[in-house]
Amino acid sequence: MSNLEAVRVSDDLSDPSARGWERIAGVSVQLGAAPLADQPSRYIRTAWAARPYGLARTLLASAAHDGERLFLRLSWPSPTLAEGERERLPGALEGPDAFPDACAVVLAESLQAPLGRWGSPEAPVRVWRWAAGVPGGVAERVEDLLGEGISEGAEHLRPAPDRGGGALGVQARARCCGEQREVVFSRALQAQEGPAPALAPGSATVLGFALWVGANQERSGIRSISKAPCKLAVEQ
Amino acid sequence: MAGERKGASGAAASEHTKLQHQLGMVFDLNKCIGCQACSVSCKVLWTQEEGAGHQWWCKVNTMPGRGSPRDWEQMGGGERSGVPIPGHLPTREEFGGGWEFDFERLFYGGTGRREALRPKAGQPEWGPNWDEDQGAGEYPNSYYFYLPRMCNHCTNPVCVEACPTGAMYKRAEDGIVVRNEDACTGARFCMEACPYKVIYFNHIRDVAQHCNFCLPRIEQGVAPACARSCPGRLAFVGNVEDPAGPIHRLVNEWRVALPLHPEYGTAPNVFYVPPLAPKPLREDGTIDEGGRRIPIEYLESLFGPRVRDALQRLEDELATVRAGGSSELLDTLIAYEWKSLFGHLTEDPAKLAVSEGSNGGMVVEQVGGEERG
Repeated sequence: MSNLEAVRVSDDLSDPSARGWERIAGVSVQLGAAPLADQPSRYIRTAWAARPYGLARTLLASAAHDGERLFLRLSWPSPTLAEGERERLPGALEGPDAFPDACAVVLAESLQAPLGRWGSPEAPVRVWRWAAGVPGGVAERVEDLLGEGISEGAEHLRPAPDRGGGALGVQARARCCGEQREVVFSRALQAQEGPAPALAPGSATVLGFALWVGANQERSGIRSISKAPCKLAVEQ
Repeated sequence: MAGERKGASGAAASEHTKLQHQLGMVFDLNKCIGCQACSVSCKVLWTQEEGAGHQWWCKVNTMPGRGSPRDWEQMGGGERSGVPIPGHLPTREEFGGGWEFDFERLFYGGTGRREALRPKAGQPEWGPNWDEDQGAGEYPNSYYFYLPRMCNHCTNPVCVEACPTGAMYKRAEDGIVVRNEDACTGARFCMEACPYKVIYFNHIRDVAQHCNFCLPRIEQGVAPACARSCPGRLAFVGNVEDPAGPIHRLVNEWRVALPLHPEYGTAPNVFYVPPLAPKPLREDGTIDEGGRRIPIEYLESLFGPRVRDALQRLEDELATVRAGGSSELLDTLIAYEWKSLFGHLTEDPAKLAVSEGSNGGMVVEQVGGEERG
């Protein structure tokens, strides 16, 4: 398990290009394909049995907070953006049909929660998910979800209750930097409602990560997930 | 179906739901003239919203042909011996259509006498019914026939099983395969799994969409718009298991109505009376009474080996009538009484709307909605 510290800063780091991020060390997270056996339908397990997925193998995570908001920055090299690489992917779709690159952070109170399987009914997790916009299609979006696991035929994800809404809720800003995607999730400390870890100075939370390579038609359970959990500590 | 959540597992729903009834349809291909009234009545009712321009939940393809989406019969999906077959995800380009036209410029901008009306975004390369009336064969024995296509509301709906969110399910009360669009995440595994490629992606709403058998009409005793609007009286609707209904009799008693591509393994509930077509001509111009214009091998490739018996039954019945006898089967297919096509679904949508003072949430016909004889 790696350790990630959300260091206290005085700047607003919700922008992934903010200069303040240059002073914050990140943690390299190793990723692997989500197990085929965890895919929620027989069709998906069969169709993807011989098809490579989970193409994103690493991401860099870094964190900070300003006493009011937590900032969590993910960056990774995206095959969707890589010149020459996208063309080699047999499933790459164009225009409104394309699947977006996406990323997610899974937050849990303890190591008991199965992060790669989106939690369980006994150990639910919080999922912050960002997806890029699709040219001519759906817009860029961020979701705050509660996860209770994957079972045959269903992914148990539902929108999290949003007590504060607006400024208190999960937000995300993203940019492309060459072949790199950079996304910063932010949300108010201690504003989460429902079964989720407290994000407060002095607290610790267990994190998992997931990435989807849109050009490889990765979506739903067809994704990369972190191989080991990461412990997030929020500096006092 | 917004807001309707039917449990966690789509797969479990399809496998364990005990159906009270199964609605089905029979299209008599000997009567279809390819007028697309079914396609247009469906389009008017269901797929006019943004993102649905390319969607034709009911459409009539010319056969033989590449169809819509282009080459859909080579796209995989379905099941063999209980094992799913990976399928291709059809794209908007393969469906074609949904073009936008600059009506304003041509009609009111003064260029209408110099230019033709063309899609705004380049020259299209495919579209719904792109290969209309091309068919196959050599003159004078060239041939084609029309094939109305829609969701088959299969008994083994592989689309439901494939869905990772449980958004799709088969209704216990009538077997209609529906989708909870609130739970659909636009993952489109259903589109891959469906071997008939009759599910579409709405890129504006990020959901997949397909024929719902005109569910709001069904719930008020009204037949689907495609069937009611058909001027050829070739679309039968009703419960498949009703022994007195036309669907059961045509499929199970007379055995002249067959599923399309039964080898796809999904057990469709839309059936077709195969086309007899005119007899072929010999080189000297005489009629070959023993021959077939449409190769039987081609029809077998569409409807399976039972098509031989179905065609023979139709020819035997025709011979009986020509000899002065009677045929309940042919009388049924002729449908002397229009409402005999619709089983228990004979309500007139226009009258329902009037009696309620509004449409009561029901979608009523906008094409040919009046009662007919």
